Amino acid sequence: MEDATLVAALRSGDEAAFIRLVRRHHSALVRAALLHVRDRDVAEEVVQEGWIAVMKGLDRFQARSSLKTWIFRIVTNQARTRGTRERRTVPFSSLRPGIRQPSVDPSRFRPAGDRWEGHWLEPPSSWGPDASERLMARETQRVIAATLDDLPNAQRMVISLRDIQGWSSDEVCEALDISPGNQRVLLHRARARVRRALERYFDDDLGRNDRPMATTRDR
Amino acid sequence: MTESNVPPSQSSADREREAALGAFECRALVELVTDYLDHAMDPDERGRLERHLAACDGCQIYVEQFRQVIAATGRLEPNDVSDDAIDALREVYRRYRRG
Repeated sequence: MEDATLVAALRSGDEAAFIRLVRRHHSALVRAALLHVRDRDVAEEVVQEGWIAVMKGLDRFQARSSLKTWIFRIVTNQARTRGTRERRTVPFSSLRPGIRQPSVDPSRFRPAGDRWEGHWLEPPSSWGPDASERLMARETQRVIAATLDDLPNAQRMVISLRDIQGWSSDEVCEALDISPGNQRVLLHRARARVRRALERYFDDDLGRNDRPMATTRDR
Repeated sequence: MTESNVPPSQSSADREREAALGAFECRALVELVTDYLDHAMDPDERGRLERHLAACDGCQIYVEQFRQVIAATGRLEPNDVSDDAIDALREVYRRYRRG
């Protein structure tokens, strides 16, 4: 449904439209709140207050931003205020990228002193012509889901909005109030981690099923 | 696995390929794939990356795997909202509408 139609429905008190909106965004909003407050109950509370603020603010909503980024921005601001108040100190922001972890194990590149330092020593192997079927297989999807569950909150938030919900980079930056550079770092780390998990998974899979005789392979 | 990108002999095609490979480091490229796919690189850097990419099998596979990761992640369902949370918010909504 288009924003304009949805906003009109909400303004007229259409409960079903409100519930649809809740279904679509509530989980992600709780995760967005958890970037600023530590406790899940507090996050749920912040989001509930956020929904009330959304209803109150609907008459003021103008289509300068999309409805969803506007809603996220409301919750983000409230969560940040709450987080700061609770700690009474400069908040540790889980939205900062933090320590840099390389996307690929450094030992897979040629070492210092080599004429081709920094170039592949152990390049990745293609996932094969049937890669798309393998990637869509239920078991593979479970590997991806488990990897996302393990990600730091901010990375999981950004990859969910970008790659699962299909938001644009601008929308994510506006919704979470982060810079484009920060957003890309978080997204890249998350994707690199999923790629590593799949590489490991497919390698193991290959070792088990297609190469029963591969005795030289390091495990 | 010690497969190498580096050609052993030095024909002019080889020299050209070496120059292309040398335009960017694989180790740097793997950190920039998201910037590359989001068109967030300056044109000069992007040009060097693409020149390298055209010559480097390993990086081509890496970028391809990144695209595959993005497509595969996109198949996951967004988290469901619990019925309890929905019911609670329906209540909040009704109380709000009643004023």
